[in-house]
Amino acid sequence: MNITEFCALLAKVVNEEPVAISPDTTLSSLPGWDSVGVVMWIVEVDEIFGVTLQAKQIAGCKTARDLAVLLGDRILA
Amino acid sequence: MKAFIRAIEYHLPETVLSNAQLSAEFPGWSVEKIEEKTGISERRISAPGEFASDLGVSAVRRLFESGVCQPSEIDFILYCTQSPDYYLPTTACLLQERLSIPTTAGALDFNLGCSGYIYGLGLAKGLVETGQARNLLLVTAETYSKFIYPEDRSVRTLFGDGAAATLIQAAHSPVDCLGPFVYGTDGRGAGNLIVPSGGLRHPLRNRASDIIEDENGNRRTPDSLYMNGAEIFSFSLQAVPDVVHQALERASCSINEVDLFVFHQANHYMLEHLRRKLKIPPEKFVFALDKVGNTVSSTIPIALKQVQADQRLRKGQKVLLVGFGVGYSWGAAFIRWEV
Repeated sequence: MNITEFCALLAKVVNEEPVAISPDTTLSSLPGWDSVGVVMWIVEVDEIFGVTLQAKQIAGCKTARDLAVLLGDRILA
Repeated sequence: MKAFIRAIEYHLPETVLSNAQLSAEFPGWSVEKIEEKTGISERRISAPGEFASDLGVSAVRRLFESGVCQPSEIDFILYCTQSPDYYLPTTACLLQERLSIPTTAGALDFNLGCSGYIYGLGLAKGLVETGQARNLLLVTAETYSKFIYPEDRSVRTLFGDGAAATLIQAAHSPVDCLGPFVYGTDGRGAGNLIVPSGGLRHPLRNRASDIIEDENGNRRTPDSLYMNGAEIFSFSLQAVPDVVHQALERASCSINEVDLFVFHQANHYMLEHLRRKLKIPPEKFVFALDKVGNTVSSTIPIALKQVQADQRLRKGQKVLLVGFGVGYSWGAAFIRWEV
């Protein structure tokens, strides 16, 4: 998955338009990135990538790019 | 002798907490959003002065009224709760007196949450199949609502109060009706679902100045229930598939050979994801939290009773039960439905 597709996936989870999120988008600026949004992200990533993220890993992320970094080379720049 | 589940009954308190009420209290959370994310449309809340033991007594009385057995026949009570009446005595002793069960009966409490029903069945099997009990009551009862701070929507939307009573009897059977069992424990997760104060280590504080507000606007005190939902999800997504595979291996069977899967009813969103992850067909998977919410140790027996009433659960079926949550503690058990 490339970074644009990754941002579109995040947008789907937080109920935003696909173009609304770029790698530099600050997560705290997204109304849908609340406790429910984080849980939905964990589930989505588990389902698509087979990776179970820990909440504390996500808590350390400030931008969409930071979230992508957690998935390593599964996300192409 | 083999232990088997003879009957299940449950009891819910009268007061209903609907999504419409929650939505009115928490603007920004629509009725639809709460239902979509949790799969719960309403939950029951115990009255002030109504405690888990009261709900348990009502569930057991329903069992007696159904005619499956009399109080005089009960020779053991296992009571699972995290909402005991007192530090001491044991609540199961109070149940013995209130239910007119003979003084020759054994009775004990055990403290577990969402995995409690699995552990209770394991204990029951041990007691019955070693001849220590013949008519055993397994009572699960919980009133988490009494631990919940009213302004903490993260837990108020999920948990409901309730109790279930399961009668486990001894029978001559060539096959196991309870088991095999698989258990698991990881105390590193203790802080992710906890009531921090109120025990001896941190006595109840009752101070309004202790109110804290998290980044999502939920307010609570150390005296109230705290749940780190994201961590609980991560734990469940790892522990549940693992324990299901371990149980299948222990029983030497495949998912196709299991008739029904009854998981702890944590929330619909999580359960549906687990179902897809494990490739369990929808018709074999049970959802039973719409009208009751997450009743902790009673979700599995309530679900069993509901599918029995719907005739989805029938004699001779092989069912896999999975409990997981607070502790962390988890477990899985096969049952063969014999009634």
